[in-house]
Amino acid sequence: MRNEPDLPREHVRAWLLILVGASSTAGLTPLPVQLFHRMVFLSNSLAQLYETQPPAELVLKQDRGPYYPQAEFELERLAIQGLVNMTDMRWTEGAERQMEASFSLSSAGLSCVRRLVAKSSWCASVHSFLIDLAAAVAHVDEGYEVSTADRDLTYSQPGIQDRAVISFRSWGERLSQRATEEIASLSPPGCEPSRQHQLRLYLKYLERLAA
Amino acid sequence: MTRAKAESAGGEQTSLIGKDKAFAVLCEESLGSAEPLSLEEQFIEAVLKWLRSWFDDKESAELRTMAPCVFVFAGDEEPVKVLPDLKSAPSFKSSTDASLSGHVHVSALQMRKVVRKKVGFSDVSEAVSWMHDNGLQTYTCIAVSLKAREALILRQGVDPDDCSKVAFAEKNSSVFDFSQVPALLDDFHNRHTKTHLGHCRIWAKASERVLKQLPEQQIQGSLLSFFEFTVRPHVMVDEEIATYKGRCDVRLARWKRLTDDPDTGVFEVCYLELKVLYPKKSAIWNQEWALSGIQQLLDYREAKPAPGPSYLCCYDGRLADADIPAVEKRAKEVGVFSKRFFLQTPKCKGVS
Repeated sequence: MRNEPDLPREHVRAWLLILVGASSTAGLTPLPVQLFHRMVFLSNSLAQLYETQPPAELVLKQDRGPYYPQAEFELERLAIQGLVNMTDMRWTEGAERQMEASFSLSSAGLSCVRRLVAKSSWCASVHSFLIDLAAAVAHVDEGYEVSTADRDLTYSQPGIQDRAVISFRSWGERLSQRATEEIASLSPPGCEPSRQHQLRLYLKYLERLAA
Repeated sequence: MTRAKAESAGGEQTSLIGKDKAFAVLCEESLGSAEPLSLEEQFIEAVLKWLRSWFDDKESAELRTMAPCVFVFAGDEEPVKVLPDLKSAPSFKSSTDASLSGHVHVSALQMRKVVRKKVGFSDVSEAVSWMHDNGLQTYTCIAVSLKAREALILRQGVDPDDCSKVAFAEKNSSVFDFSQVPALLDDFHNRHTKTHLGHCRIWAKASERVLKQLPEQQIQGSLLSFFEFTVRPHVMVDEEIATYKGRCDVRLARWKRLTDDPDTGVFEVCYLELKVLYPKKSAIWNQEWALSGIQQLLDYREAKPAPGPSYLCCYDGRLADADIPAVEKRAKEVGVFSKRFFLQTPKCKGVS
């Protein structure tokens, strides 16, 4: 998988910081690292619904779920900068020992998000998408967020092996976005749900698949 | 590591979703509001929905001794930092036996991360004063009278005198359908427009029976809010849906799943056209005005055909409380339900 993100690095950092901020507003923080990677994945796979260019249009499929090593590196960097709090640090059991932690926005991070959203129209539009996404994830029953995200149609499509990279660069490959739009298309003409509600419907649909 | 492509990348025509599950989600979540909701409105919606199920689980006798409680939206702040001495209330949202009496609850969106403390209020007015004294006027709050089954919604930065009020009816297990609309319109009239003291302020000078400018807009705004709180999430509520035949005042759209075929549903639409009858206009003018409302409803039906009822709602500001036979006759002929609500101004002379 390419390490270089599709967006400039500063934009990726801003995206991740805003994502942690949106998760905090939606009550999802402290964000366990497993949920963090799923939030990053959903934000990437559904960004085009808001006509927004995401940091990456691919995901590494692993048995532990969607994984973005670069995003995790950037998040830890934000933690070292004092913008994100890291708590509950621990090592996993087993042969491949990995460090796990939970993430939340620090006071400095909150001020930074507020400033970014106020001063940059790009950040404001990303914030509006990520808030809607986090709110849709928070609408899923508590404790089922991870299993729900794992049923995403792009990620769980059949025939893809572990350690494969799933691309969703083209419209045909964007199964998450297409499924979201297909659910919305069941509404009658003139009653189309807003994009905000489309996200909520899609996450609730995934929750049903995961049940 | 290998690079894989989506299997169905080329299959644009292939359905990606299970229609049965998708319809079930639409049934549960409905169509949402026509416009995206602000964070505050999402918070209010979640709390009111939760309170409805909480009230449904309670007997009136239990509520009689309960003190008011408060819900506060933390916005982008950590809920625990909003007030001192808050304690975590894990699994609060999933419990219906939570003790609310006298508590102040602070939470994130969707009632996640609830933290709370017991304050104890003798009445809602005391709760509102307490909120003000503790700097909560910069937050969106909901003060709930458990005894009266009522909630006052105090939006961030809005004067408490302009807050909205929501009443929680006794448990009604029946699924909403459009046959309940006439009773809801009566309820709205009783609370909002029946007298000059109602929630909907449409009189510039009630003692002289002088209406404010654009009273239909005042009523439309209040009626939309009323429906938002009474029929959602079962029904989508929106306003002034433009068709090539004009604009409708209120539209209620509801998805109804067919019991014999769960993969299929039908959308029903209820149109409401609001007309205010004016005290200073002639009888002929008011009659034509009401008749034009019936024609508008027929035009909407023609432009956007869908099953469902149409209601002409006349808010009657004339001096005499009397039906208009030509309007009743025409409504009956074309299958429109006509409702007339007389606007009372008790101390005004010459009103019968």
